[in-house]
Amino acid sequence: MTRNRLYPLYFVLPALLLYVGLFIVPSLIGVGYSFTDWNRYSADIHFVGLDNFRTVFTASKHYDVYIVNTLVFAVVSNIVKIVPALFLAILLCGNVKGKNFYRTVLFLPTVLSFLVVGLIFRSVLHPSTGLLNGVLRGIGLPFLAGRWLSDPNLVWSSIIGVDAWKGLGYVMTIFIAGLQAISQDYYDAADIDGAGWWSKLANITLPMLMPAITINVVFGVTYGLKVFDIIYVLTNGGPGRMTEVINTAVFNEFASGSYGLGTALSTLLLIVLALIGIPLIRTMTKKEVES
Amino acid sequence: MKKLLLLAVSLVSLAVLPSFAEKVKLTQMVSQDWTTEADEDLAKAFTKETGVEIEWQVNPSAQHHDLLKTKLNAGEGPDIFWIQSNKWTVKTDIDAPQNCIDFSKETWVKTMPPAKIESVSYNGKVYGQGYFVKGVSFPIIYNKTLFKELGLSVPKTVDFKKVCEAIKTKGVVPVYECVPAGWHHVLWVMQIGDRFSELQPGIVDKLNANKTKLSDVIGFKTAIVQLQEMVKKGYFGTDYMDNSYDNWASNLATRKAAMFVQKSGEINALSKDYPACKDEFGAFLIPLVDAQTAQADPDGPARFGYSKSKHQKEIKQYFAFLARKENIQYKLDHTPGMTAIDVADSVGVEQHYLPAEKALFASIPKSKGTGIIWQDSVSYVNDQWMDVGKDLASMFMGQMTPEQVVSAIDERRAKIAKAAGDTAWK
Repeated sequence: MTRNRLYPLYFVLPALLLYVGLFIVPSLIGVGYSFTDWNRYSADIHFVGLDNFRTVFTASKHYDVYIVNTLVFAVVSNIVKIVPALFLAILLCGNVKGKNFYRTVLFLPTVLSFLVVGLIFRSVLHPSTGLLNGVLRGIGLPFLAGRWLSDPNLVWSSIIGVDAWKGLGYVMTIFIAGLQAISQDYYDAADIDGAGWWSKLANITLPMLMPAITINVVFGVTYGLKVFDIIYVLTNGGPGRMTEVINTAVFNEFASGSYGLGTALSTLLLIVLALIGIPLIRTMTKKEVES
Repeated sequence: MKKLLLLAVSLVSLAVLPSFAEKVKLTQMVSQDWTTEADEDLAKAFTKETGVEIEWQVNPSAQHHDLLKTKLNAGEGPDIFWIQSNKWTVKTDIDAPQNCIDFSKETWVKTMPPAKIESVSYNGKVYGQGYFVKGVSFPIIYNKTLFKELGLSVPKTVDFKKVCEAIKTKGVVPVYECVPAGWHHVLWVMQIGDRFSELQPGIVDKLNANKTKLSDVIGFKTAIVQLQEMVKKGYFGTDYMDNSYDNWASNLATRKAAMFVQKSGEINALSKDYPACKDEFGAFLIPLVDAQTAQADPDGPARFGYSKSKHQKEIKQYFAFLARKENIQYKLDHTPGMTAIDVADSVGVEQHYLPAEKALFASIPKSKGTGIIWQDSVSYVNDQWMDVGKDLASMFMGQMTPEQVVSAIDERRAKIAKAAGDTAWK
């Protein structure tokens, strides 16, 4: 019987080979190139030690600010998506009329491409001709109209808002799947004990939902740290360089032929991802077990 | 009967299949503002004549260079691609010897004037083809009627500020500017490069020999400071960080704005696109740092063939087709913003300069002559055009000072020069 359930270890070999060949090896080569002056203008590649990393932290381009921007985006964009998505999921798992319709509507932006979302929102957020300011002025709230993509005080909120609009449905869907797996018996027992809505949320829903929360947080943080598309299409890193993140800088360095510097930035991103991702997964998984 | 039918179908398939297999499609990647309907018409005419299809890949202007360079670096370039070409970018932007088809032996090369040939060549080999606007490079187009109504005359010095102030008080945006385009606002500084040469003769050679820096060039920082002042005083209006390049004509035609840095031939396009606009438009030189030298631009957008393309024969065929006299004339006649095209005199194309352009030429003192724009005379400036655009935008936002903008340009020049193995930087 045991023999029937166990598979030989070599079954993992094809997948492992693909993973090593297509991910581990290129990543290691990339790390290697980050210590060189590899560029488009010269066929020779020289070892330059930590020069590229020194440039990252000392150049006038302020890559250190881009790293901070990336970290802030990863944290804030996650909070902005996860909290509303959780409450929407709870709401749409209840007895709401037309809940399937609402689920579909909320999920729809997820299937749109970033390019389409960018084009739509660049138009919607234009200060003079955009729909948003038009509506605000139309309903007598002109003081709320703003320069959504060019005001340094508003641009990050706008990007994070658009990103939340696009990604909320996906996060919500994962929560709905998690909520549907929680047995109604727990809630019935809590009702008998006289537990209120908040008490049930804190003592049943959230602990039982930990696997879904883990998935959303881990996916969200890695997405946030690797963010590129939404910023590229909305602001292209502007106004000026205000919304540059690590990956837009990597893209720019590769485009300008500074491959060594580009790979150094990628390596830094890999380190940041590992430093944040591994402890995060461990902590979250531990909480799942505890709960 | 069934066998006969099957045989007939097989024969028909055999006859038809080769024609499908032979159909060639050339992909052509271009920035959104560089081509017009005339280029598309010519592509269709080429398809009609040869059966070779042209598929356009039009990129937003702020992203074209990055996208193209990334594709070339990945070894996945389009069959034909465009860049803002000059004698340096041919190497630094697209590494022509590595990525481009050598057209040196093609007979059509002589349809381009010598300065244009130089701008698409590297180490004596011709890699590109460009037929762009001829005339004064990017003056300021202005609403002549509005100027008359306000009693304003064309500014030739920093009096420009007074003109802007007078227009602003009438509730009209003095100058339309579109920073999101990424490239346009850089013109204010780079298109007056010949003024810096006038103030400091021999400065271009010194810059290219790495004997001086832009931070030491008389007037260069002043131009940036004056540009910043224009923003601060509201001469670009309030939407300059959100405006789209495409809306310049509508803003000028509806008097929302009075001026725009643009190719002078575009006055023609403006009149045709907005027939209801009865205002007359003229052109004058950008007067920052009191610049009054006309500048020619032998560069401009040019197309190149990808050396790793499977369809090199068809690419050569297409370039030869575009170089025919009748096709060059068609491009000139059917491009609303183009009144003169930069081709060799021997081609015999009939140019159509506007009265406003003739007046502009006449207004330039003969003693000043015509210089060459700086992006074609100073090395490693054009390569960082979009970066300069980002720096200037940062300055408009108060995140950089003019000094930092100039230092950043110097820093990038040094970086590119070193990477390119320029001996002057060793």
